[in-house]
Amino acid sequence: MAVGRYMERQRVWEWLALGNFLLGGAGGGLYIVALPVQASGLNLLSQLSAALVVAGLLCVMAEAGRPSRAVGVVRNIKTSWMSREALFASGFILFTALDTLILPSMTLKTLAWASALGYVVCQSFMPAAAKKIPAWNTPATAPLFIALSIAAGAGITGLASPAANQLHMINTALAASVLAVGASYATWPGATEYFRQALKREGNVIYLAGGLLITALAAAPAMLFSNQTAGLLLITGTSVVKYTIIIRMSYKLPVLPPLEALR
Amino acid sequence: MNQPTKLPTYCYQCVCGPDLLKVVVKDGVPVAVEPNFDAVDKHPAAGRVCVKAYGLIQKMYNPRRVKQPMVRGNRRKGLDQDPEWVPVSWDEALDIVAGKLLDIRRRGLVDDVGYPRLAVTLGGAGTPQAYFGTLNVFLAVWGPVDYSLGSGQGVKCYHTEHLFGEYWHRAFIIAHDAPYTRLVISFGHNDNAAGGVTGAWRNAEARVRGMKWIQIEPHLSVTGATADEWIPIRPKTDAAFLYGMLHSVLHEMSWREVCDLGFLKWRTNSPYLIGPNGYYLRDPVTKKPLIWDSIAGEAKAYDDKSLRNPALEGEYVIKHAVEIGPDNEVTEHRGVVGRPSFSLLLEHVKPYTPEWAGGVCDVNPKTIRRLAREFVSNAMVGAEVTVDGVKMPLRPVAILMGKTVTNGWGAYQAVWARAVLQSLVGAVEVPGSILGVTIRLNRPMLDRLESVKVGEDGFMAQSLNPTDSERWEARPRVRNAYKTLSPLVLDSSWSQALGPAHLPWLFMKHPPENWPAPTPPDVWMIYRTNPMISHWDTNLLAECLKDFPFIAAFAYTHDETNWFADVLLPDNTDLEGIQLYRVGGTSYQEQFWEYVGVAIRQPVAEPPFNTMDLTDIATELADRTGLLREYNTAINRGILGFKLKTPTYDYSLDPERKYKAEEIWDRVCRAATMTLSNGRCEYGLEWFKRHGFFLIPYKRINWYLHPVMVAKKLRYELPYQERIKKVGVELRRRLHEHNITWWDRQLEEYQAMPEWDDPPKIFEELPRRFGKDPKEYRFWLVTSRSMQYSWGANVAVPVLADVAKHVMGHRAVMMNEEVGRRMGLKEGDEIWIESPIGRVKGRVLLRQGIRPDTLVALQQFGHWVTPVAKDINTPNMNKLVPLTLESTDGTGSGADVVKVKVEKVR
Amino acid sequence: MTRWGMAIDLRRCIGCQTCTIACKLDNGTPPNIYWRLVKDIEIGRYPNVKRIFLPLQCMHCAEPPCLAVCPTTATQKREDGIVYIDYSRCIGCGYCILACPYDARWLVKERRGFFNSELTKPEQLSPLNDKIGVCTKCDFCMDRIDEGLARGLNPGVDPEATPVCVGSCIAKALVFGDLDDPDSEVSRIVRERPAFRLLTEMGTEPSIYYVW
Repeated sequence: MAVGRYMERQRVWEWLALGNFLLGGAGGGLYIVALPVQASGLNLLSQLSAALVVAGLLCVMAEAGRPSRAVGVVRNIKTSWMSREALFASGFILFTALDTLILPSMTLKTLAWASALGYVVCQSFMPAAAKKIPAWNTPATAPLFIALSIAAGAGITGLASPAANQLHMINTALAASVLAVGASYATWPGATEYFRQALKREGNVIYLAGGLLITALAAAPAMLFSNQTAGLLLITGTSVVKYTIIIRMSYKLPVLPPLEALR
Repeated sequence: MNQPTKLPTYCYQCVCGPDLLKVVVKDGVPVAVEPNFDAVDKHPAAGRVCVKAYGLIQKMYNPRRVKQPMVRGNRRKGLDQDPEWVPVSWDEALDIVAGKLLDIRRRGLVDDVGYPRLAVTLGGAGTPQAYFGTLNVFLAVWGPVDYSLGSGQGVKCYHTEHLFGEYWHRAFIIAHDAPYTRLVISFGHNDNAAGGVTGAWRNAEARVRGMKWIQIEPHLSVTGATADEWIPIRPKTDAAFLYGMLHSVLHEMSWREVCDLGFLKWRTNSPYLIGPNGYYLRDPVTKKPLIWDSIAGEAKAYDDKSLRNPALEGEYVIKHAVEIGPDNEVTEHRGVVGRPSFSLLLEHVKPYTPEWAGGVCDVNPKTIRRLAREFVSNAMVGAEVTVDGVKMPLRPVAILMGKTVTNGWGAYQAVWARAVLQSLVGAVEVPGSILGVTIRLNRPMLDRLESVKVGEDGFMAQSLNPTDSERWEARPRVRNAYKTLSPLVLDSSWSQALGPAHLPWLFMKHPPENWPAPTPPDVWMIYRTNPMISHWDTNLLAECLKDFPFIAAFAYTHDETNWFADVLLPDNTDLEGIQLYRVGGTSYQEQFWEYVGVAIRQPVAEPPFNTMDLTDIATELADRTGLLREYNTAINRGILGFKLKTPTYDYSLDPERKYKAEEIWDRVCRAATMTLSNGRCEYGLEWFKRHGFFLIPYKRINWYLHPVMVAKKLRYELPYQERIKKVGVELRRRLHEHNITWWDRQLEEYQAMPEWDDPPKIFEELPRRFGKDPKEYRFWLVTSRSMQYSWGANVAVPVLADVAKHVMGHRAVMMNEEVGRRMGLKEGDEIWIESPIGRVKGRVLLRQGIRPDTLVALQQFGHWVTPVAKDINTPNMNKLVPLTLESTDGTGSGADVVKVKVEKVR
Repeated sequence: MTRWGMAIDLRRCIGCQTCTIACKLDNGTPPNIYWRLVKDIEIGRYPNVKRIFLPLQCMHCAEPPCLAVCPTTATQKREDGIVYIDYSRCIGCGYCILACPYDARWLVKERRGFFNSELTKPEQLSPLNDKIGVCTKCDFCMDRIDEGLARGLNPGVDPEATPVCVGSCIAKALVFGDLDDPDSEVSRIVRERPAFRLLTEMGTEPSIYYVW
């Protein structure tokens, strides 16, 4: 059965949504990495991190039909990853703001860090719950996005604070996990024909592999790349992967009757 | 907000209605359409209406309409001449039209050549009549009117089925008897698009019951979609398939066992003895055709009471007999050998083996053989069923055909082979078999059964246009010369439109020898038609229209034809006008009701624009041209369907008074209900506005011709076409007497049993006529109807485009996927489609359900003026179909088929 | 309990889109938005091709993924199984559209009619006119059902209390009724014919059954 002709891309979450995944994800990841490695200029980096999360939220609002009602977005914490994402985002922004602008404290930092982690996790589960999109609705999607966001955060950290503690080791670990989770994402055994089609079409597999490989280069021995270069590689590679999955591979699940009904 | 009201009305946008609906009106604004559930038990599709009816509200409020009368500002006409419309008042517009009409009355109703100075062209299939108001009354009292300038009929209709269907079994349209049919073999019969709600409803019921449907067509249509099997066939070879089936039944099976011998012997001309010249051998005294009685061992007249066992096969020596040939030439024979026509049939189909047919049709011969077997086994020869207390044969098999099969070259072969196959198993006009739904050429038009009168030689009477030297119409009275060239089209109100209605256009620019060339009419009126889109070879049409001195167009929107008009008259649309129309009985495409009566069309709200009811327009024109008295008198006489004055009632109009539409139709409503109820009910317009329809029972037995044929002891004129052969010779003589030889090829079609003469070749070779190489044109371009648009006059209604796009082919030309790929085409790519006379551009849809050598362009779009439609951007094949005598068959029809080449737009 | 559902007989459907347009008109949906439509599907390779018509609409799932993802709780499920949107809460984020496997949800982005910004009189009365920037979808014509029940009518039997699409179908392909009532026509059809539901592997438990 040639299902190809019934596959088309979703047009609901496009560039602005990608903006949220890229900016917000990297923002959350930045805080997750920058705090433990005690990056230099942490205050500024925290603010940058919050700004990126805010920018991500603005992207989402710009894409929404009724942004004026945005406040209602946290009504469904019970089941909606978007509500949870928004809640953690708000918490993160609040704690970071308090910490960096009013009352620096380790408690606030810890709360902010936990919120950032929650935010990145929830955001990563968002596409995974989109049953319409076979390339998103996989068990590997959320782990992959978590890894991508944190790796991007590490990338920014590397750019801003190349001398931070253990950065090379963290980069290596993150790059390796992105590569590992990405590879398992691309080859997960439960993949449907539609997932495979989404991967196969229009050179998507090359984009995905390319993104993963660029990311993986950050794991190269320190003598090859500086932390700054590695940071650039991480940011670029993870962005390419997110772009590939959110935009390029976002084919919709065709609605077709079971084959036996057709005979 | 007040509770919505629901106003009943009817929809007859397509040839399948009228169907009944209600319009939901909220605060004076119509907002929704729904079926008329009051008719659930009476309407054959439980009161449903199809997708088109739901577009009517938008049609009414369409801001792209022509919103007031307009006159042309630019005196020049042409494709490149903007009409420069100037708005005028209704008074001015009507005065202008009336002025032109009065000119005609002063100068004489016919011109110097003898053609009517007033010509009228209407849209497809009789649908305009349901929106006509009283315009037909005005035209009827006018005097000679030329209705013969076609708008696409002949090439867009079941032309040969119409003509031969009526001839053989009073079947202008042939349908299957869905409630009983077990097997339908459909050659491109697109019932799911063109069978209306009744077709959809009945077929759905039948499918669920277990009816099997085989669809044989070059592309998998919406009807093929619900079929049990799709058999792709090479275009225009359907007759060969049927010939293969005929061969299989008659030569590969034991025909004495599988055929309905009783039917063949007593209900057909199968046993009639044929003489050496191909005409019936007749008794020398009574002139009655002879049949060989194999028990008595002698020839007897067909109606001889002592006839026991008519022979179907063999050669018999008749001592003394005559043949009556063309022009009543009698040939006397002594000791002549006569053969039953059935014997000739056996011989005729002998060469047409399934292997031969398979090669022609590009179909596996086994499939043809299998279908022949399925056909005879499902016919259940011998079975009976009782309908309304009458026991009748049950023969639940039906071969149906679609456009391009039933018109143009090859159609005679196809409809003949179908009729013969059906007759072999007695499956004609009995439960489960093929049935005529309606008549349009014979009379009385409202009663198919009544139209069956006893004629000569044991057959029903036929009123063919005469071809004898005294009565043949040598000088045509209208521009398409239907009486002169087409004996089978008869001479009724529909005949002009079914004559070779494209010939006037062709002959205006290319007059043939020894023929009064058609003149442009002084006044041309058009209603619900757009021939610049729907005709073939539209460029030629444009050349003709430039020379038309005055065109009055009833106009919904600006369109490609009224681009050439002088006056635009925006009449009320479907939901704005008023009319009482007949419904029920058996009618139109596939309407089989158990009720008959009338339904109202009523305004559901104030018309939003400065439009006028067509009845009021007609009354004004009658008044302004001095015909009011005749007009009112004609209405009183019953031209609107019911006499306004009988011994039991009198609603007649004062002949001198001008009445408003409501007043006229109120009286018609009263007359209708009094007539239908035998004087028991008198309901006026107000009653109808609330109740919508008035119906009385109609017996189901009336669906079948069989009881009438039995009662009148008539036979079907099958399989042998003696009369057709004779008429052909006579017509040839008449034309040759007038030195007309350009119709000779068409006359070859008049055969007693048609040969397969390779009809597709005519279309394949056509490029040569234009100096082109046929090999370059490798694709067949055909068309297919869409339920959303067919006949609807609704291309300017955007909501229909919005839903139609979900059905394949509404946005692109369909092509086989592999072929497209090989040509480097992707879905949605733009292609040029080129025939020898032009090219059109369109997007391509690559699909699997289409033959590699075929392209399908759905419906007819390609608009460049009509609002909304011009944005649909789907090509029209009509621009590519050459208008030639070569592609005109003997009945005067062409076919929607042309060979083309395809190229990617760079 | 009542659980409203539908049986769609694929043997009957001819893809005419009458239900599509009846729904459009009654609910006043703007162009390019289809709370229901009939998909025209072709499967196989020439010449062994099958073309089928598949009516699609909100499946009123027992486990609606749209409801789970909706951040604002605008999407609700009633006791009788009808999944609907509280338009006053929806922010139009589009998440539910991506969660619904059935293409059943439509974001109305702007107030545009069939003649662009020029709304006709009937269009001005569309109940969707103030529902801009929100996600919309089939609600099984729940107003008709509720009002019908209030008037003592029987949804699925009386046209006025039944979804518009069902009444409009010209091939009697759509049957509406209570899936929890074993005597309803819809239950009988689902019981007696081979039936399937779409994309059940998504764990959605749809209330629309297809029979063939």
